[in-house]
Amino acid sequence: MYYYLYISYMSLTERDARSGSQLFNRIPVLRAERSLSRQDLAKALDISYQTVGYLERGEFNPSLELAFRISEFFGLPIEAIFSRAAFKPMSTEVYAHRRAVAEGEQR
Amino acid sequence: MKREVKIMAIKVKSQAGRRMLVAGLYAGYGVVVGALWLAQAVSVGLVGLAIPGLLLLGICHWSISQAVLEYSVWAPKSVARPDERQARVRDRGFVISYQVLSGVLCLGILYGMVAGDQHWWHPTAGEWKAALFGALLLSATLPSAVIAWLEPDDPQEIGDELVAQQKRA
Repeated sequence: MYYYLYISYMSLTERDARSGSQLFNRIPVLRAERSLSRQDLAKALDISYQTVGYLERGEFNPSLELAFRISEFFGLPIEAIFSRAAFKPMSTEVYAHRRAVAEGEQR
Repeated sequence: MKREVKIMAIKVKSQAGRRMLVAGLYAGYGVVVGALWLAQAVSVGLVGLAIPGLLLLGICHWSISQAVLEYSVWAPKSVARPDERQARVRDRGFVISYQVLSGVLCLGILYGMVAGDQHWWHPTAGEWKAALFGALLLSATLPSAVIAWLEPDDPQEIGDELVAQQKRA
């Protein structure tokens, strides 16, 4: 019983981290690219702006339905926004992509 | 939680403030129980001591329920309905409350069973009734008190300030 009380007492973030189900996301970058405030995004997704903050910090895993709403809002596939592994910095990915394109052209 | 509640011009927004309200709520609860016990044991005139306790309990419970209003399914239309994270936080509050309440009730029942055999202090029918009313009050106040106690403060969101500045520019 004490174990269950302890599990309940843990924050949702701790529980997600403990169960190894933490999701990483690119919401802060995508939001910044579109010059949206948390309030704007929250209004568009019909959630509270605090929840946007929790999502961005990876402290709350969205439901599949909310993940789809986010993906539809940004016009990107879900796997471009959420990942089970940490994302590389956008600059690294852009540079790697450019380098791959340049190498392809050289061939 | 992030709703700002003003009590006698004091803003209650932080987790520390909410925790003080929860402490005040259960201190009021203790004062009421103590006053009723004194009234029964010493003099009926002392029942008036319960009034400040009741006031403290009422004010604190009202303030807590206002501070966690956005998590409630009975929130008025002016407050948005809880989203899925807030619903999860609310459910967690109910789960913890259930565990605490059932633990308290089990201990009470266990004591009642053992006390008769061991010739310990045994509550009278009136005291059992008072204890059950107490448990009812606890069940009504505990879920919002748990949420108010556990929910952390919002971290400062610096990014939003930058976006607002860009829009102003």
